[in-house]
Amino acid sequence: MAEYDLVIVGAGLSGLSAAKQASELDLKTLLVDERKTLGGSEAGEIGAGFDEQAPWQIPPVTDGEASRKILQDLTASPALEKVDVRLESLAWGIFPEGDGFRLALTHDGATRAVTASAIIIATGTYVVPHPFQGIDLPQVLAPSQVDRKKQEGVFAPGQAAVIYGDNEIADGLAAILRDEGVAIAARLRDPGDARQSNGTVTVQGAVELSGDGALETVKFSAASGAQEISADWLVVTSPAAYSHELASQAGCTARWTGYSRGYIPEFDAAMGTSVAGISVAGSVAGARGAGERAASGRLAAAAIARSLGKDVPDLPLATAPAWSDLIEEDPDEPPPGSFYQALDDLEPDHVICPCKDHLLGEVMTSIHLGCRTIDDVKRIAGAGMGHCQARKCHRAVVYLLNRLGGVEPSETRPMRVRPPVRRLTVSAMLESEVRS
Amino acid sequence: MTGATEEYDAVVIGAGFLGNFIAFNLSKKGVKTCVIEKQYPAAGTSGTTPAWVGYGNRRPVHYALFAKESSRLYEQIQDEYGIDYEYSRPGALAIVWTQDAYEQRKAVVADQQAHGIDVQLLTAEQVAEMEPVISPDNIAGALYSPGDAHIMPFKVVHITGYLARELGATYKFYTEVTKLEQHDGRYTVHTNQGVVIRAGKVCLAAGVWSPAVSETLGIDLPIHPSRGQLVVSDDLPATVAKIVGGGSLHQWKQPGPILMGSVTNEDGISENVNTYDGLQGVLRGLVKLAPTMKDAPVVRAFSGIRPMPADGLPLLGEVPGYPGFFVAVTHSGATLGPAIGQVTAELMCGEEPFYDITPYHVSRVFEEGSK
Repeated sequence: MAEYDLVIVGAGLSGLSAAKQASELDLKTLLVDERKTLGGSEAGEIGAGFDEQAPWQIPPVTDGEASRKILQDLTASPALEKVDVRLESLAWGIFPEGDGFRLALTHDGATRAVTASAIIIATGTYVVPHPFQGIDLPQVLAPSQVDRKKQEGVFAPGQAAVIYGDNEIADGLAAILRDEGVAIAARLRDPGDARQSNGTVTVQGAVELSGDGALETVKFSAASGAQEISADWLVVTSPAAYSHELASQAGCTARWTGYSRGYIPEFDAAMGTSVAGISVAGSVAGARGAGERAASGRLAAAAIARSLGKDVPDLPLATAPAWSDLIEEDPDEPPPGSFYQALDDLEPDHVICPCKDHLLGEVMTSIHLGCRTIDDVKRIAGAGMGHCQARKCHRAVVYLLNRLGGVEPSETRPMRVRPPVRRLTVSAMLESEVRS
Repeated sequence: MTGATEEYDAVVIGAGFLGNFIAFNLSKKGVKTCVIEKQYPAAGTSGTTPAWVGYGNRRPVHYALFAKESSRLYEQIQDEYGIDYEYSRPGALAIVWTQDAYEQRKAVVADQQAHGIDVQLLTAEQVAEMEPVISPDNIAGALYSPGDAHIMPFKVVHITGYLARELGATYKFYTEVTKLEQHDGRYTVHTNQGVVIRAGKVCLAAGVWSPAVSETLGIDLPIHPSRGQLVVSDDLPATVAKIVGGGSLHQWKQPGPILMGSVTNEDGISENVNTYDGLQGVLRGLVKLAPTMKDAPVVRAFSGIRPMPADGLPLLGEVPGYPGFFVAVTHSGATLGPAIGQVTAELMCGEEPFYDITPYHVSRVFEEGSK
């Protein structure tokens, strides 16, 4: 007998919604999250993402009032009192066991595993840098660096910033900068960004930065022609990549989707993946906006309750994301987004794998030698051998596989992510007590 | 699906360590060779080895000497072609955990030494002196093989395949053999890509996937899968100089990552995944051996599936009753690749092999009463 009917990994909007629903349907439920508080990215606490040291992390993100209201209602729900909650617990591995699963959780420097009949993976997204010349300039900021720079007091009135990426994260960062007196000189968007807000300029091709040791100007092409904007800061919010690692470990199939320009675990009309007993919810399943994320959590939990024999006459289907909506391709959009066209102009000695310092030229050579998957490239070129397990470089590799090898992204398989999902010490992976 | 028919002198099935070294040797002899690989080189077992070219710990003596020849060939090929397999000879320590095992090893080591194999049995204290990261408290000693070597598996497989191609071999990646047929003294190889290949000689070097291929000719190869699990650390300062155990501790460059954890052998398991209990076992064994490694950062675990011939020794040579059909399967492709590559190519060309492979000949599994 498993200890829990259901374990939910990720206590953001979708995970909390799933927990509330599961509790209401009488499932013995455990909710885990690596952060200190419930609410995931909505709660404002920066998550470590896949890398506890580098700045390219999960940023604090909010959909505004709507999501805050949903979050308040969820955390105040009496149904949650019946749910076991473990915070500051990282789920680092998922292993089939009997009819269910064993989930390895590390907490306070040691591992304790739990067993469950079903698992909902609601692990959200992370941010990876786009490749372009000048990305190493200290004034080029990842989302999570903005708050840090604010604490350092380096923002000042009279400065100008360019913000790249049209999404909720960018909105929040623009607001922070404005509060510090920094003028927003331009809001740029990638042609592949899902949103197209008023006032944003769609960039064609690669952004170019000039400045000798410090950022001076941001150059790019747009429909209106070439532009050059003076800026003290460039904030880059890449489209989110999907934290599908646990699903990948469990053997769930994932597919590159044009909508996400990333790998999303395939799911059915009830959020179930290709592995029976494992469902996905929230932004890892491509859900956008607070309402859709919450709905996907409710649906996943209700469907699991039904599969475990609970009386669930109607599944709450209406507003959850649908797989069929995610896989529509934009034929004009070079995968994985025009931003990656910058790779065409970069020198072969450009570092494409920041963990292990492997070069663009090595990846190109491996594809010319016949590599056709991300894992092939990893073995031959070494890119992806480091602790991020190809999370930083996989989009660039997908672009190059398409460009040089003629491999359609939808035909590629995601990289195989092995446990642990993030760099952990040996003792943090070791079990703290003998299992009963 | 039907497609073009292509004619070759020889077909090699599998592009791991063995397939690539065989193709390299055949091509060197001018044999028109086609290599068929169902994925990409090193996607299977060859990509998950502990990177250890070892002979000191091998028994019986002829097997250790065969492995030693293979290690020598690594160096020879590197020199001859000016390539870099990252071959180095740090020496290896095979940990002996119990006093009973330690006592039993004494006679074996004496026999190995009498045959010119450079091995020594070290006490726990001697081991800890040699590698201070190892605690003498939980071990009985170790078998020290100063000649054991390291290679970079991905590089070996990749570069050897590249050499074979440069010498004229044709490679077909992402092409899976679906059926073999024998008629008129030739073999027809059907693939999932439609292409049909005909050749007078075929060598099956598909590791754990070999029995499924040979079965289509009616040949039952006694090979079973065996899973191993390891973890690899992030880059660490110089921690350990020698190869310890089957990847218990192996830092091939300093600073650099360390392969950690004793290789667990889970016989009969073909699922290439890490298990919770397997990883706990690997990590517990590691901390028992080297307590300070508890603070080492792990970046990923991995697993691999080795082909285990029934008696543990390689299966080589022409299959009785199937003239022109050869096999080359072993659980130690990383160590034996160069030697098996050369021997197999020689056998396929009807030449006298440079090393007597009688003990490894596949005919032994078809002898009466062998199964």
